[in-house]
Amino acid sequence: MTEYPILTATTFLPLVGAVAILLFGGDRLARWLALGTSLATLAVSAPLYWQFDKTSSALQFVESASWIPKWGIAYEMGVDGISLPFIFLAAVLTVLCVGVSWTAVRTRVPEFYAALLVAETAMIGLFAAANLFLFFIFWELMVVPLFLLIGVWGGPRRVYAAIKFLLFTLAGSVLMLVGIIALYNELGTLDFKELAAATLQPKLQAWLFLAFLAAFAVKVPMFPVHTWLPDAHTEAPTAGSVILAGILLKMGAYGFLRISLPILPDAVQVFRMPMLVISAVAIVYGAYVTLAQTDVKRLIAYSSVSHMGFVTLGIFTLNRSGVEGAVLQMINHGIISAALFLCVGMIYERTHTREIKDYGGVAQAAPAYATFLALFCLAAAGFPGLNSFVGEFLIIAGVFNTQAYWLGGMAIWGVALGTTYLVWLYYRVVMGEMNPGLEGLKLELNAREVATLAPLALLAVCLGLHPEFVLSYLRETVGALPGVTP
Amino acid sequence: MNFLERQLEDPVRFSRIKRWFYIGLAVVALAEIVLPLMCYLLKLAFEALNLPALAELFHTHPPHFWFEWIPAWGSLYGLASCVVIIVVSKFLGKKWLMRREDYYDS
Amino acid sequence: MILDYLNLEWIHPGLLLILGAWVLPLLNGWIKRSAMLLLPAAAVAVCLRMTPGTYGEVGFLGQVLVFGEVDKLSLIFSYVFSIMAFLGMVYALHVQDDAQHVTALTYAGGALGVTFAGDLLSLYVFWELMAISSALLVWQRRDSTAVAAGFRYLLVHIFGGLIFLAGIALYWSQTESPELLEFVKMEPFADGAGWGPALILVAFLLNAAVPPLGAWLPDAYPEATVTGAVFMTAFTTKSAVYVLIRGFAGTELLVWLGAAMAVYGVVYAVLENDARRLLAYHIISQVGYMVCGVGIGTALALNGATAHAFAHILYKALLFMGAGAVLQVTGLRKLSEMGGLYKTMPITLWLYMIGAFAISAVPLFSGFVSKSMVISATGDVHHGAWLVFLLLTLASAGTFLHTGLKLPYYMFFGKDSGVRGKEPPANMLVAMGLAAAACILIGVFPGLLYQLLPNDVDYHPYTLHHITATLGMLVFTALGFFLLLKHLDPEPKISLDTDWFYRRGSSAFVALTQRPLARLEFGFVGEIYEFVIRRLVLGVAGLMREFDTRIVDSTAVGVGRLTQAISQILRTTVSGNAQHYGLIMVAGVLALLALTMFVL
Repeated sequence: MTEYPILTATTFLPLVGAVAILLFGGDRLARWLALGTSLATLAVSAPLYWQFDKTSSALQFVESASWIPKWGIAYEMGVDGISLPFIFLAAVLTVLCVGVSWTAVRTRVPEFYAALLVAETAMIGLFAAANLFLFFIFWELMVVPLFLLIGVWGGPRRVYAAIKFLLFTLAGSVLMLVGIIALYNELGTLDFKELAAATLQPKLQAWLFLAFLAAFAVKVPMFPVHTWLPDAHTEAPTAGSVILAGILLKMGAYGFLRISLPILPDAVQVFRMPMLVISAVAIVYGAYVTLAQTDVKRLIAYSSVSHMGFVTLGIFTLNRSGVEGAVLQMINHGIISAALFLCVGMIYERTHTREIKDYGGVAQAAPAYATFLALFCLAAAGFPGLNSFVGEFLIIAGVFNTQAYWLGGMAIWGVALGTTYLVWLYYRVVMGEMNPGLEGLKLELNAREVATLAPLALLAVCLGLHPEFVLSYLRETVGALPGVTP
Repeated sequence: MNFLERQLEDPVRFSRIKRWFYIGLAVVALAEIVLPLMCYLLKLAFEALNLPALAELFHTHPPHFWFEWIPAWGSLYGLASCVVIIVVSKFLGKKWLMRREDYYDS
Repeated sequence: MILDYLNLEWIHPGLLLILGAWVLPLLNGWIKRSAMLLLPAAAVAVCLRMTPGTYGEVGFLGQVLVFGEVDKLSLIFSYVFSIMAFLGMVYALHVQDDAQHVTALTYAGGALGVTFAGDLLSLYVFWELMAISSALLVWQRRDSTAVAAGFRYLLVHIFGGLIFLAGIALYWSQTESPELLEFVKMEPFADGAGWGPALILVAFLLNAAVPPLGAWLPDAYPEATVTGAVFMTAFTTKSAVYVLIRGFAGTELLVWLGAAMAVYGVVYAVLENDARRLLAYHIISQVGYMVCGVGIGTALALNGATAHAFAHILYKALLFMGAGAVLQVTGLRKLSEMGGLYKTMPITLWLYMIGAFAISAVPLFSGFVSKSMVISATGDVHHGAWLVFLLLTLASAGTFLHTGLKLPYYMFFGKDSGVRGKEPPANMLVAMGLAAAACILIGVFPGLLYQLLPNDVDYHPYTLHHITATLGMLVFTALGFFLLLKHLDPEPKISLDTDWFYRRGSSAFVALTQRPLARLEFGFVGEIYEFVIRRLVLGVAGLMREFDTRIVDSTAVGVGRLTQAISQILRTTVSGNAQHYGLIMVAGVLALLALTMFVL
């Protein structure tokens, strides 16, 4: 392995950076410190990707330290094929968030970047956690900086949105905590490996599944507990939206994969069909509601409901194709949603309106922007050659493997609607006659913004042409999940 | 005034064109009936005269369907098709399919 | 990594066009004009040099994608597609708008990609690329009707693409070896085939504009630009015919669909007023012959379908070029407004007429040697061969009626509308000339085409019987035309096609779903938060606020200080509400910790 505890370093380096920012203050210093820290985090985590053993499904880079021996709780970190891509995603997205907020955030700049970096710590820590205790701590820790990001630096209805986010999330987490306590009571350990190895009573499993479901379903978000998402995403500052859509939503689905499937396999079998149905409903419902939106950011936010429906649909097909597709799609969605929110944020900085009717003909003034947006809209729509196509295809193939063809039909209908609203959005915003309200504004992207979008565009194309980049990490781990048929 | 204009604008020339058209109609119809028959007879003649090469020259592929044996089949069916198409289509259009130009603009 | 897999001895002409297209906007002046011609010419050269074989195999997702399946069938289609790309670029040489050139070449490249795809996934990629680039091509006219039509076109094709995708996914999940998504002949109606092949067939039929899935064609084609429409006629429908030949040859359903299609197009063309829309309906009619040939499935029939596709691309392009030239020069598209143009546009007229004779299968023109193959092949239909034959022959008469008689009569002759045109720019005339030359060349030397056909050809079009019958049919159709001339006057009206369902019918459906959905989302599900959570929790919060105000004053100052310190960070609005929400948070976390410690 590596000479230094790489996971701990990656997790807590942003926290160190946050503290430094708060101590030293100053707007300019804060920005550069934040950029430096996030880039350093990405660099520090690099050995994780080179040295990962793709043929093993066990936890790797394990770091273990005794913490609360009386309760048998250790500080243990480790990654496997499913969590590793997310760490990469979190590190990259944080860098991009620092970049996009450079000129957009003007008040209380040091606090903003501190909050952002604390959020990064929480994200990476969650994916690196090797036991439930750490998992829960980072789960809860994540809420605080996001609440602040939305509530302080957000849009006009930010307070309402922040509180809604908070209450929804905490409601779910309380139930999860009850589940965790019950699990500890029953088995005396919170370590993932040991929990997965143990067998539990089916009835207990069912209750636990529901308890954890509460938390995960809110986070994903699944229909019908999704209503916090549009407000939170819309009112958050661009960086907040990127983190929310890019990583936070994935934490819920990750929870299913990390906790529900390995530890509660019988319950998963029982609840499989309802979960599949709710996911399919979310896909179609989310797409329909998206079609009706008039605010660009809200439109993209609702589309996340639909896309995450795909993810949970894939997970609960419980076959190789579906689950691999689901994890891949989580990464893809993280990239594409982040990119779309970045695009929206960049143009909002100039026009200060999010209403679609205030836009039109952007392509004439900003061809580079139009090209990037075209690429990301096509990618989100599942155009072959770009990343989302592979994920969607694998999930749909997985769904058809379960013989529930009508679910596959709903998924396909969701893709159709998705393409429709994205093409329509693109057309209304970018094509056609230039909206008179946009005259005289300098709409084209500057170098910093192009540098922010370019990595995501590159990732979208590379993953589209060579999804093996991500899939190669996943294979063994997904295959080792209980209940997953090839 | 180009060539076509001269032909079509002048009423005398135009009626001459029309006359040639009717003559052409008659020729084609007759040819359709007579020529295959002639070829068949010639083929039989050459076969009888033991000249297989020349017989081969006038070999015609027998038509596939029974109605193709009707004399001047092509001409008759052509005229009939034309009339049927125009009549049926106009009927469908008037009764059902045709609408104002701005029908879809709502 | 793709380069590692690709045999460098084979260049994909489609990728050549697509990548080359995106370079065009960077060039200027005469370099750009030459590049516009050189790119498709290079593609033609690449196609001509190709030898049969399998190239360009790339591993992806555990499948083998084949990008270069080269055999006689794909070669002949690649020739005509690349030649068409060249002709189209010659025709469009005068256009200043770069976007049109890029989209047109990308579209042509996509068609070549479809032609050489050896497996379903790579086929799908190029299928979607064609859909998007052709929709963009329609949008290039930038008129509000063009934009609306392009949007409908895109949606229909996306829908078709998704049906295709569903078919692939189903087929994948049902074939025994999941590695084989090879594009081979499928049996959609065989036992145990499942829905996969059937869905793929539907997707192909949609692209081939088979009614009732074909309304997009007459809807969108007349809305494209003058030069864009010329490209559009060639690629989508003919690549669909190609994939039908490869995948579904001999499926009997296609015989009847094809025959019905041939007549359908002709019927609608009688009612049409817009010149290019009339020609678009004729595309449907002609593709009907090809689909019928595919359905018959014998060597002769498939040869006929291929030959007809080849010839059709060339003469249809010529026809659209002619109508487009009139549109360009006079700005008119409706037949009711035209007339008397022969005086000022004679060259266009003659070139157009060559195309009209070709499509009508006049002897010595290309249609004569290709269409008749399909009609002759109808003898092999199992049930009702006579009906198919009669329908196809009826459609032939109708074709001449519209393209050779009605259109030129009302456009060029007829009552003089007083419109004076002039001949279109030289490059357009050259393109038309080249296409016309090709039509005559194939007609006079059919062997040139026949040697390229996928199966061995034992067919002789120039038999005495055939010539006399065809001439008879054509001349007497003309007689019928002149007799019924009064009834044929074009009226300024539109005719309803199956696109009514998604233009009128769908808005009702959308309203039906949107309103209850919106009510559900915003009125009900959203409100749950309002009523249950917010009021409940914040009601409790209000109580706790009262509690807090009294207790803080008299007891734990430390809690107050802690609250204030946290609220510093939480300071949002001046209202100080954050303090109380912050207190809830603190209280909540404290409660959870207490719970943890005392229950464990």
